[in-house]
Formats: sequence, structure tokens, C-alpha cells
Amino acid sequence: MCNGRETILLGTYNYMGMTFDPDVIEAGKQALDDFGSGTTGSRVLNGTYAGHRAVEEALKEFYAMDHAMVFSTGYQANLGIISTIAGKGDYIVLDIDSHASIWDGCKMGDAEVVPFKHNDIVAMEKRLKRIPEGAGKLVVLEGVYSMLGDIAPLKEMIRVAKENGAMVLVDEAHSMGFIGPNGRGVAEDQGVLDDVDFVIGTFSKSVGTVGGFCVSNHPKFEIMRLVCRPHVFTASLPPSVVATACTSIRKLMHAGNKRAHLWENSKTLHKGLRDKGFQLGTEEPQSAIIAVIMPDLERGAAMWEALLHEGLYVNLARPPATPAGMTLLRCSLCAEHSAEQVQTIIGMFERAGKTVGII
Amino acid sequence: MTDLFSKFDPLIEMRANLLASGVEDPFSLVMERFSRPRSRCATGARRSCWAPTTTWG
Ligand SMILES: Cc1ncc(COP(=O)(O)O)c(C=O)c1O
Repeated sequence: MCNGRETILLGTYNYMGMTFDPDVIEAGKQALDDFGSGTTGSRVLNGTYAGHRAVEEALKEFYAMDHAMVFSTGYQANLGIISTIAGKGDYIVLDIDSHASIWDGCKMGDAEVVPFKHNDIVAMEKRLKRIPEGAGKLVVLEGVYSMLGDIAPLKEMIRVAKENGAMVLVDEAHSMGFIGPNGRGVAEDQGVLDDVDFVIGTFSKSVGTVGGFCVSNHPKFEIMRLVCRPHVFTASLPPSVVATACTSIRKLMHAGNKRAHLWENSKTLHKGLRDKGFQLGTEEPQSAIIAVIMPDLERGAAMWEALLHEGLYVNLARPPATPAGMTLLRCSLCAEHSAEQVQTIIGMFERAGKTVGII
Repeated sequence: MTDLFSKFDPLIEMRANLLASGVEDPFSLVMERFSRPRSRCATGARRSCWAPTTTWG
């Protein structure tokens, strides 16, 4: 219900619909009873409970990786890993459309920051080649870019990064759980997960709760637990949160059918909106985000409101969060949306689009 | 490839030496279960009074 009206939520990032999964909810309730409401401490002091270890074990299994470290949010995971691993004298080469948490991590670590044009492999290579010999290099990429819902050509980018001696960090916030045969993300889908040094993710999207993480195969990774300030100097996640995350991640390991249904939903919505005459962020559906490009902020806001009156919630995104000064209506689909609901959504867009004069 | 972890090598060595001396790692204790708000069983299932939390009340 929004404003007293039954509303379909199409802007939540709850891609896999785990927030109301009965097993997930039960795990959270049990942890509240057994472990209380909070840890009141840092992970390195009194704030590591059995549940924190259990969710890190689940992540290691989910990604088939050696190390996993949980943070209180995905924002802190990027902030912590990037600022700790790349410090003064090191170089970070990153996509210009990177998430704010990546930019803030760069700033906090004091490395030299070298941005390149969005998804442009040649531009990235040029930047890498200009870095002085022997300097530490980190390339930071995202699997899915959340504004337009487009994916990165990770296979080529990671090859170029490695040829130029860089370590690679990939933020898979919007792909975890959904993209790739096991839901490990775009790097898995493109067959290059083994070449990624750090995968960053969040519990606030497909996992359906709150928290962030980094997984890695690097043999020295464990030292990060002691030197990473956004990990050390903050309280750990409440026991109920890590319990829900752990149950959700384990269920996502076996969610092939849900992934297939979510792809169907994404393809149907993309095609439906295109056929009705809307301009979209990508030619083909590449993720569970479908971005509808609005002619300007005024009509974007009018369209957003018209959709809300129809009973549909989407995200209105505008500069500076969006690339190239665009106003977007960002739709993020959920595996729990039925095929009929997707058709209903297309009808709502059509009526609202005609009312506002966009189509 | 430049190893961005090399800046932590001295700390990694110091930590390895500390743990090699046989002491329990003071920075990775796990709270396994709780019997009441200020006691807990940490790794090894010993029951102990839990002073250093900030749940003052
Ligand atoms: C690409 C990306 N990275 C990181 C984050 C931060 O995640 P969290 O909500 O867990 O702080 C987000 C969330 O908006 C994101 O889109």
C-alpha cells in the first residue's frame, strides 16, 4: 500500500524476492531470541557472533572462494576495501559511472584516481599504460551499472587490466543472486570470476536485508580484517540480520528457477515498453533493471506521479546520480512478480505515457 | 603484477609471530551462544562473564 492505494513495487532492488521468504524470516526471529537485538561491538572485539562466521562461510560457498568478509553495508565494503588496498602512491583506474561508494573509497584512500569513459575498453587501456612502471594499480568495475541497467564487458576489461599488471575489483551489487549460472554475477557469466581479485556485494538487493561483503582468493586477504577502518571502527551487523542473510544466500545457491523467471520478466517488460514507444537505456535487456528515458525532469516527474496514481512505484532518477544529465524512470523487476503483473505494468505505463504526452 | 597487499607484509609477519607463540587470537573471538545478557560462551564453550561490551544499561 502506498498513499492508501494497492501498489505494485517496481523500484526496490528486491530482485529475488527474499524479503518475505518464510525461512529467511524464521531465521531472523530465531536469532533475535537466541542472540538478542544487537552486538554492541566491533567485529574485532566483542562483535563477532557465530552468525557472522556462518554468513561468511555461506558466502565462501556461494562464490567458491577462499575468503569472505562481511561489512555493515555495501557502501562500507567499497569504502573499506578500496581505501585500504589502494593508498598514497597507488593508482585506481575506474569507470566514470561508478557508484558513489567507489568514488568515496578512492577519496578516503588517497590513491591517484584515473577515470575512463563508461565501458570503454580502449580508454581504460590508455589510462593503464600511462601509469608509471612499478606503481600499484587497481582497476575498479561494476558488473551491472544501476542507472541504465547495462552490463560491463568484463571479459575484455579484465584481460586488459591483467595484461597491464593491475589487480581487479568488481562490484556485483546488482547482479549477485540473479546473473550467472550460479548467481555469482556478471564475472561468472562471462567466465572470468577466477581472474577477479575482489568481488564486492551487498545484502540490500537480492539477499533482501542489509549488509555488505567482499570475497577474494588472495592468500593475504585475511589481514584486511585488522587494517580496514570501515570494518574495524563500527559495530557489526545485528544477529538477526546475519541470520536472515545466511539463510537467503544459501537459498540463492539453488534458485535457478527463480533466476529463469526473473529473466522472463525482464525480457517481457523490456519488449513491452519498447513496443509501446518508450525509449529505454539498453537495446536489449541486460539485467533486472529497465531504465525508461524521460525527455526532461518535468515530464519525468509527471510520469512518475501518473504511474503512482495507476498503482505502480518506480524510481525517479535525475542528475547528478544519472549519466549524461538524463532523467530516468528506473524499473527493477522481482522474481516474485507474476507474468500477469508484468502485463499489468506495461498497461499502466501505456496509460500514464499517453496522459503525460510522452508516447 | 604489483601486489597491493605487500604494504601489509610487516603486519602479517608480526601477527603470524604472535599467533605462533600459542596465544589465542584476541581479534577473532567468536561468541557462540548466550545464556543471559552479560555472560557468553566464546570459542571452546567456556562460560564467562562478559565485561567489555557497551550495553551499559
Ligand atoms: C553498485 C553499488 N554498490 C554498492 C552499493 C551500496 O550498497 P548498500 O545499500 O549495501 O550500502 C549500491 C547500492 O546502492 C550499489 O548500487
